[in-house]
Amino acid sequence: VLPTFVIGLREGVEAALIVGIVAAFLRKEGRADALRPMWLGVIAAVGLCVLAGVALELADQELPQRRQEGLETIVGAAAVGIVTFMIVWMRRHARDLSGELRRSAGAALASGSTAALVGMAFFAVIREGLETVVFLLAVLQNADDPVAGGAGALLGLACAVAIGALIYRGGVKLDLGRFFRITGAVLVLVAAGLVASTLHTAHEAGWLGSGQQPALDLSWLVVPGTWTSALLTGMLGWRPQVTQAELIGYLAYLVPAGAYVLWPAGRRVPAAPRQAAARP
Amino acid sequence: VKVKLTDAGCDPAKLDLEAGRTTFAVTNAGTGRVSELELLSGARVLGEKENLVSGLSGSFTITLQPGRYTISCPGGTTAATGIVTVGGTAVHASADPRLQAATTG
Repeated sequence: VLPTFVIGLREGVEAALIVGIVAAFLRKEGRADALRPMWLGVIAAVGLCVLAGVALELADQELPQRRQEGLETIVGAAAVGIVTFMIVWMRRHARDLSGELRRSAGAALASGSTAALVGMAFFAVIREGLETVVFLLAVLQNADDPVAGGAGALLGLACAVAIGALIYRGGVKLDLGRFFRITGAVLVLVAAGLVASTLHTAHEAGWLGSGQQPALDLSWLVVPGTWTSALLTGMLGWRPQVTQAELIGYLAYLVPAGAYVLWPAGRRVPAAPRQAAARP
Repeated sequence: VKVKLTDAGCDPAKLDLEAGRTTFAVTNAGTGRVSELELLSGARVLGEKENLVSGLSGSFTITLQPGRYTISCPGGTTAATGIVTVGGTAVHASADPRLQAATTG
């Protein structure tokens, strides 16, 4: 497989995954009206990245890699928060999401939360977009084979967009009440992966120096330079070499959040009084 | 200083440099295994360049103080890590031209 395809796919999937999840969530929670601003935000983010990338190129400047990693860390941390919010929200509302209640004020997503979700999609694209544009421009100008390299990178991005679209379709089709456990478990995996990749970018930004001893060698599974590695890294945050800090962060999120999602419904903590009051 | 990325990793994997402002010019010399170079002090990343596929090059510039550093070219077979030894005398922070420009106005 072309290396440029793998990089395009990985960078693209990281953004498409979050946008796909946010779009499906807004749609499922009866805030389809927020999809339009979300798409405008995504388009604006792509435009900004292209402009910034071309400006860097014209000024003959290198991408400030450490600042880029810093940006990825901050947006990654925010994404962990947002996905966690979705998990908690869905768990709380999973039972009474059928029928009328869904449309009642108690169960509708507040506009503040909606705005946060729309903002998340914007920043998810900014986070990966600039690096991708700079990479694409470099490939087109300097690679050994610009045509094949550029086509590979664009194809990788196209596959990433298709995956985002599949996530959106799948998310919309799933019945939230019945399939909450599946959706919730997938979101927990995604968020735990975001924790690990955020710790990784924090290290590359020069912010995290401890816990960098190798803890786990996954290079048999996440084979560098393959399209499967692009998906595993882009969607689940798995890397060929896992450091102690990344492994601890991953498990510290995965275990409690997984238990929260998979705990049997019968033993569930009572729903928030707000919801009870909303019941007619 | 020029470093190439090869199937083995970083080439050369051993660098002797003088303290001061240093630009690492990284070129991928045709490997599909390695696409990234990091300069580390202990476990802390000081500078890096990633997503360098075959034929691409990039650079980063930092001010090096005397001491021992490592370079990492993840994915390389035999030279995934290398050693950088920086000699000379400690450089004043103002050797950074940007800082100089900022303080002298």
